[in-house]
Amino acid sequence: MSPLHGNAGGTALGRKLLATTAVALTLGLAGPALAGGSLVTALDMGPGGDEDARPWSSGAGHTTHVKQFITPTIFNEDLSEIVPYAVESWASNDDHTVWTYTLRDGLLWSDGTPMTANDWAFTAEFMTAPDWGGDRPGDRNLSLSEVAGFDAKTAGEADSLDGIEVIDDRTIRFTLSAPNPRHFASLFRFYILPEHAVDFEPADFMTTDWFRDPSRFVGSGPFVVAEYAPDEYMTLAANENYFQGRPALDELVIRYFGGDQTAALLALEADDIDFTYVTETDVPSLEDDYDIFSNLSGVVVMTRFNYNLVDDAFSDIRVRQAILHAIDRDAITENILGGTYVSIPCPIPYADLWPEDVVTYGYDPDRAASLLQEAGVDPGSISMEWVGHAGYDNTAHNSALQAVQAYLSQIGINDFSYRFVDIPTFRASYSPDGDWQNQYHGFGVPRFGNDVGRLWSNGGALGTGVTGYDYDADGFAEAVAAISAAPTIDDYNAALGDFCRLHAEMLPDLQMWVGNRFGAADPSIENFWWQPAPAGGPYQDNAHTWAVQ
Amino acid sequence: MTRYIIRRLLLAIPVLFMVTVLVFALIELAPGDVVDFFANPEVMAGMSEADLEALRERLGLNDPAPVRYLHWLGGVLQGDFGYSLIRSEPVGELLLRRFGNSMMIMGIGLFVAVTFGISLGIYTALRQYSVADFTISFLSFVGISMPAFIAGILALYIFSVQLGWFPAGGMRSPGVHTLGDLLHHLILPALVLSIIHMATFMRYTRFSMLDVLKQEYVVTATAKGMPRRIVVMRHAFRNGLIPVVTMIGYSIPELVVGAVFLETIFSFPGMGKLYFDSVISRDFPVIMAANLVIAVFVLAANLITDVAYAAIDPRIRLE
Repeated sequence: MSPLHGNAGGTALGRKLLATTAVALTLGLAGPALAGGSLVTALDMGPGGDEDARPWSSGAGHTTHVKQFITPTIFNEDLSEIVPYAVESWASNDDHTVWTYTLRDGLLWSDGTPMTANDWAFTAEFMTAPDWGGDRPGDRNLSLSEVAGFDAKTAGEADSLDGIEVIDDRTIRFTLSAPNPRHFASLFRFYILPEHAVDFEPADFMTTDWFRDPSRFVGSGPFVVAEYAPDEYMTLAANENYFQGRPALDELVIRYFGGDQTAALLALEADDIDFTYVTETDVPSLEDDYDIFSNLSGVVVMTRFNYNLVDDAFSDIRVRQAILHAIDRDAITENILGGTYVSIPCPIPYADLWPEDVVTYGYDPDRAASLLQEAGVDPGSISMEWVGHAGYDNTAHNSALQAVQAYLSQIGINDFSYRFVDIPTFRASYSPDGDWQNQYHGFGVPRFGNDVGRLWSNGGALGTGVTGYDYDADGFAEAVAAISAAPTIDDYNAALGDFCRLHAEMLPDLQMWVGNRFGAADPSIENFWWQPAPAGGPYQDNAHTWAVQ
Repeated sequence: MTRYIIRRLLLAIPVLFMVTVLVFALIELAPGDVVDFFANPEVMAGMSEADLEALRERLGLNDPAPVRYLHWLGGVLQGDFGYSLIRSEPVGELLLRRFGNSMMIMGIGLFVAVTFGISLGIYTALRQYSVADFTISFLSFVGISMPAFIAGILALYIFSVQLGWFPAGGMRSPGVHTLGDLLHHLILPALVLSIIHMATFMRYTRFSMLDVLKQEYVVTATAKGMPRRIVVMRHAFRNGLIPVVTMIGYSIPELVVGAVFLETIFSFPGMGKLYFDSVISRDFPVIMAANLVIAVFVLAANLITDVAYAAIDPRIRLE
């Protein structure tokens, strides 16, 4: 298997991998080509890691979590589909309010205990306990907020979730509070926990050592915890009972670098580790000696004007159109961002979903100037300050914003500035009452999953306020509803395209570009796969087949 | 002397109290809190403001500031520094571990820096304007001028990536728990750290020794026919050491504070990186406890330095 160079190759490779795995599973031949060895990685770098190693309450880290636990469904290798993982099949009633899932036969926990639907139900009840101690309920909400009785259970008004019913050891039924044609896509971060082994209370979720203690940990993924050295590394050992076969590796070590990419890169070059996330500026010096894994990140970088929140020139759509026409986004992505970014017409970061007739607002400074004139806005009166969070405070993005500054000055907008701040400052300062109302930052948009539909929802519990998508514009509610209600994948993709077109026409915020993200791996690793998924996925990486020569 | 030390220790109590109040006030003034840190705008699609508010309530962040401060202070007085909101472990254990790590790297670095810095300072002072003096002085300027992270990256690139003599960061090889492996990981960052401090100590020692060597009592001692070694070590060095001791005293708190850039480059889990990460994530219990520990060490270092003056120079009496 060769590493991926570019999005198209990734799709092809993903299909090849999926097909190979499917055939192997069917024939009962799944298993390693090579045996033994230890692979040392920096999976905590970039979007895929989290030293905490604690699923269900993590901003990222799914690349690690999925090594330890299986989920009912999962993204495929290139994030183009949600596919079965712990489940064998699913079915829904006609209005998509009742979903029945069947677990694979013969699933075992790492201690040899059979995994049953009771474990699944136990996990659902555990995570919705009113005193659950997790600090990031995003995955819980994604997985369970649609289930009937969720609000009552989490509020302490009910003892159990009404919408969960165990039919038999392998079958579980979900009753939803509203129709969802793709409920299986809500379960890709549902890390099933072992009822027989969890010896802590929901309130102690963040303080228990269970997830790090080899003597207590019981998992279901290809690896189990063997050693945890805080701040240094976690060693995972092969799970002999993994349902796709014992991993080829004896050990998978995840080294922690405190988020410093330079340190991880130096460790890679010194042969101390075999894989790390790298930036686009590192790639040219690495591509001769390492396998470079690359794909679109699914993270849209945008700036948002939130014209509903400000009473100034930006409330006129012609001003917003002028801003986009004034900035040569293609030149910036090609020349400043090194061709690793592409400009986008809307917040959907996947080119194959963009309608052919979507408005793209190409570089046209004359048109920009005339639009401002038509709007009766003096460009000299426009004041713009973009605030980004520290994750983008690097040379490439600073240079890109300096170019934006230069382009805007060409049409007379000279009062432009930008700054990067840490995340709490960013969050606290950006609000209707905050100091700044224009952001420069990224946002993970998985190609498929309920996040997409809810991201732009004004009324739902998810997204509003936290993400800042507080605008209310004609047609958006209907477009979002159409995405959520799409009964088939084709309908879903078409609805996303319609949303993209509407967004580009109305410009509630101004989209800039979406970037590739990169990983570099030692070529001696066999069958290795890595994908720059938002927050690390999880996605099928077939870690049980990874091997070292 | 004993009364002096007791008085200084008693005076430290209100100072420490004021430090905690000041740090708490600064945290309050900073925009955002730890819950805002959890709400990373890139990955926050699944959380609502209601979730965040519930989290604030559970963590006690909605309590009035004086209540939160008193709650924290009450815990500290009972030996409980609270729980890290980011790292999900007791702050006391966290600080102890990180402090131990920092002590290893900073201790070795400071020991090497003091030993070689003072020795080179004396050596160059005794050979003023010689080739050795110019060479060592030039190198010391390089050491003082070079930022720690540049020195760290250069050292890693040369000695780890190119030569392969040392591991490229970290504190241990995964799964290896031997002293040899630990030292192998410590040598390079400790040496880089020591070079930076060594240059400073060398410059101070040289300047101070040159000043003392011109004093009349040194000339007198030499005129009396005392051996050069005794003149230098007994008469000049002891007096020349006082400003150097001050510098060393100032360096002691760094044992606790750590070296944030160096720890980052060497992916070394010390206090400096912990403190930095805690500030940007608004991990209030860790920031407070770390500041308290640092303040204790600063006060202790000042006290030790003052006591050392008296030990070095009999003319100084502590009352």
